This record gives sequence, structure tokens and C-alpha cells, in this order.
Amino acid sequence: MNDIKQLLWNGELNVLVSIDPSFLMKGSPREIAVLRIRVPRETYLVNYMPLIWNKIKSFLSFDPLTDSEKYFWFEHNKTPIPWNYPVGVLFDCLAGKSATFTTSFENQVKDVLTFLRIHLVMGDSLPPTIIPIASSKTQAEKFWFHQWKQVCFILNGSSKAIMSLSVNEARKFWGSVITRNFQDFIEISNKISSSRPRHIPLIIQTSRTSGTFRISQPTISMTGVNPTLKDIEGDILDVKEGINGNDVMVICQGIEIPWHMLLYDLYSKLRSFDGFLYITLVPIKGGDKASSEL
Amino acid sequence: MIRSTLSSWREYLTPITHKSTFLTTGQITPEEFVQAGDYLCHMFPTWKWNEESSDISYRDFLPKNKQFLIIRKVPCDKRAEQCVEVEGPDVIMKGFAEDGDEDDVLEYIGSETEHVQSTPAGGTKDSSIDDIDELIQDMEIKEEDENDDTEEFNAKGGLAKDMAQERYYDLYIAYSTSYRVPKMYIVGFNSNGSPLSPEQMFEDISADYRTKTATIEKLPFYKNSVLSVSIHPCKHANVMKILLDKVRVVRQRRRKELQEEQELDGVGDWEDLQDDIDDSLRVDQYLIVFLKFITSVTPSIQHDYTMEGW
Repeated sequence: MNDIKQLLWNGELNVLVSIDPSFLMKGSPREIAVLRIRVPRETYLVNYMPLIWNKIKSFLSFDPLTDSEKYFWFEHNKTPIPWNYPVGVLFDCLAGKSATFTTSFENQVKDVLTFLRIHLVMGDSLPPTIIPIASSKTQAEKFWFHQWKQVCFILNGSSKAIMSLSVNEARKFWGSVITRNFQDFIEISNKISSSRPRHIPLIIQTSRTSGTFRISQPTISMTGVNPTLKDIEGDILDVKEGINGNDVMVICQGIEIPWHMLLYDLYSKLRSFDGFLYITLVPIKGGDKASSEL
Repeated sequence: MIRSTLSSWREYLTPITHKSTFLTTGQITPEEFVQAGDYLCHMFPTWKWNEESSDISYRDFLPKNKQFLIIRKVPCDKRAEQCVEVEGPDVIMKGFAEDGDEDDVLEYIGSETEHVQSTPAGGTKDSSIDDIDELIQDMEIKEEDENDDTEEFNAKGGLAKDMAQERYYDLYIAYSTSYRVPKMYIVGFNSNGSPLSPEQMFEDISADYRTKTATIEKLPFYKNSVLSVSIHPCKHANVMKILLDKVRVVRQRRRKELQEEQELDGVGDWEDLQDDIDDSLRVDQYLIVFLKFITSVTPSIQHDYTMEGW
């Protein structure tokens, strides 16, 4: 199983970050406003803020680390995107939204979103639901650790397993994300996991026609059962919005998942680096549904 | 005050030891105190180390920024008597043998539990506490009962009275060189922010401990005179030793149960690392268990938002 996890851990995406001209002094070279980076799927965009600030620091029209009246956030096609989801999850959502997501090789080579375009913008107030990007270097670490606390509680009914990590282990855990140390990550995340989970930490993302995303976090009990995705179809699909199982692809870690997959297997193999299993529902357009399976 | 002065001389004169014996004696070294404090502050940041300041009387065997731990403005919405249903004259408190007999110590830490067991559901004080799991479970049930009671009370218009009873405490944990254990100091304020008198602070110490272990003294680590009530640490090591033994037994039992379950299920991939888990409490978690003990001394001061101790 660790082979699959290693593949996911090593997965990377090309990200093109463009910086809004309002950040820069007049006359700044155009090329300074564009940053092309290769980013692991299993990390946060906000971890790249020091790199971004460093690249443009000589051309900034203000000091982003001390100017508390300015807010920054990322956008994709003028829609704000949250930094607090793994980059791979954002990609799955945005690629699905732009109707070019596919897992079939033929379609990939001719018409696929090959990189994630994001735009760094600023304003006097934040868009709704967007967590501000703080100047604190520990913002992402603290958020991520809280995610794991939730995951630990959902899995075990108590957050004791994660709270019992020593200070060194807790630092090593986050350090493994930053330094991309897979062995350290697996070693510590296994201490939090359970072979007999009470519930599965699951987050469902569904793109809406308005351009926004609907996020839901159903409670999936595992006590005495081992359901397939089909068994929990009602929890996954948004019945109120009239979504039918035949109309959507279930995408996880960039892979189309068959409905007969066992949820626990899916979780243990494809969970994200914050401990949650993210499922993205991508509308099927005109029979483009790919037939690939795990 | 004489006792307090003698105590501070003893603190000053007792030599420091650096040899770790916490599992066998319940005592910790200054280095282990720092380690436990670091863990507490990192995982449960309502607790913080002191900041360096000219107001502090530093002890040179501890780092200047790790002289004592502090948590501020901890709510205390009722008096200690209101936290327990006292059984009356039948409750017998034993004196402590100097050598810290286990039964004495368990009675020391369990006295609160005896009250807890005397629930409206009909429990009796004679029920013995032989399992910390049961103890905690009982405490949780009691907590729920208390919440229910509070809701009912508020519904009857008791909110104003509640607010008048509201107090806040600053809690300090320092290192006692005399007893080689952490020592707790509490400094109380009323709902207006005015300091409480020692007599008022005594109201928030469990009756069983009030005359035995609570001492009025100035905070020794501040140059300015700040009056506090301290929990005398003479029995802390014995209590901690018993609790640490209990932790080991409970963990050992749980691990065996888990192994049996796994054998029934077939071994899961994720549990391979269970083998390297030591059943004893790590020393950095010492203060988590210590706070559980302190909760039994100050049951109405709601300071413990850490985690279960075993």
C-alpha cells in the first residue's frame, strides 16, 4: 500500500502564479509578475508565499508582511480559491469546473488542463469563506495540525493519539511535509490512524454552475460495516441540487474512482496529507466519461 | 507565614538533582520539568512559559524563559463545596503516613471521587475505585449531570446569581526543589477583576485539602508581592507515583486488548508501529497527569483543557 502512497506523495503539478499589478511599483518588469513552479499535490499553496514574496520583494509597492490593512488571496478565473485545501484537491476541482478533466489518456494529450493558473490578488476586505493569508510563518502548520486533530477525533473518537505526539514528533510531522520526507510522514501519520476507524474523515466537493464550490462533510460511520462508495451514494451526492450518480465522475487524487470501491480501502490508500479523504464530483459532459478504473 | 518562610528557605537550600527517577519516585528533575512544560505549551497553548522580565526572581538551574508556567483568567463559576455532594460525617479522611502508603495516597486522590460516586442515581460512597477508567467515566457522567443541572438552574432565573459567583484565576506551576515536583499556585480575582483574599481563594479548594495542603504565600518567582494560595507539594510525588503506575497498567491492558482484537481481525497494516509503544507515561506528559490531580484539589477552577491522562 505504501507504493501507492509514495506515488501520491511524489505527485506534482505545474502551477503558474501571476501576481496582480497592484502589488508592484509602476515600471516593474512584466516577467517579475509571473512565477512558474512545480508544486507537490500534497501541500498548501500558502507554503509558497515566502518564495513569491522573495521573488517580487524588490518591486513591491508596500510591505505585505507589515501592512495589516491589506488582504491577499488566490483566484482562478476571477473566482477566489481557498489556500486551505491541498493543491491537488484544488486542481481536481478547478480542472473539473473547466470541463476538461479526464483520466483517459487520449483526451489528456489533446485537451486537458496541464497546469494550474492562479492569480494572487489583494483588496481591503476578503471574499466570503476565504481564510486570509497571514504573515505568520506558522499559519499553515497550525491549520494543518488542527485538521489532523479533527481527523484523529473522527477516526478514533478521541484526539489523544495526536495530542500524545512528543514536541519533536509534532515538529518532525510538519517538517516531513516541508522537506518531502515520505518515511517520516508515514511513520507519524500511522500513529494517528486506526485499522478500525469509527468514522471516515471525508470531504466532498461539488462544483456549481455559479463557479463556486459546495463543500460537504458527511458523517460516515464505520462501526460494524465496510461500505462501498455506492452504499453511501446518498451521503456523497447532493440530492437537493438534483445530482444523480450517473451524471458525475467521482475523482480522488486526480483518479476516477469506481462506485464499487470500498470506502476504507479508498481512505487508506488515497487520503490527503491533512488526513482527510477528498472526493471531487465532476459533471460528465456529453459522454466524455472515461472508463479507466483503479 | 512562618511555614511559608521556612518552606522558601528549604527551597533555597535543597540541592538540585539531575538523575531521572520519575517512574519509581514520582519526582522529576528540573530538565524534566522543562521538557514537560514544553510539551504542555506546545500541545495545549492555553499554558505558556513566563516571559523574561525584570520582575522575576530567576533560579539559575532553569532557563530564564522557562522558570514557571502560567495560564490566565481561568473561569471558576462556583465554589468547591458546590461541586460535590458531601455525605456528611460518614466521610473519613485518613492522615498520611510519612512513607506514602498506597492506600492513603489513593484515598488522597480518590476522596473527590468518592463524592462523585455519590450520585443522585443512588451510588454509595462505599464503592471502591479500583479502575481509573471507571473513575474518569464517573467524572464524565458527573460533568454531564452538572451541565444539565446548570441549564435547569439558569432556566429558573439563576443566571444573575451565577454571574455574581463568577471568579477568575491565574494558575502558576513552578518547580519545587525541596520535593522535586511541580508546585501549583493560584491567584484569584472576582468578576470585577479585584483580587480575592486568601480566605476567598480557600473557598475554591476542595474541603478535604483546604486545611491539609493549601498554604498562603507570596508568589516566590516574582519580586513584587503577589499573594497566592499554593498546593503544598509534600505528597505530590507519592500521588504521581501511584498515578504513573496506574497509567502503565491501564495502557498495558488496553494494548493487550488491542492485540487480541487484531489477532481476531488479522493484523492491519496500520498497527505495526504499536509494538514500539512503551506502556509507561513519557516524562514530557507528566504535567498532563499532574493537572488531573490538581483538578481534584480545585474542582471548580476549570483549567484542564488538555486530554485524558491515561
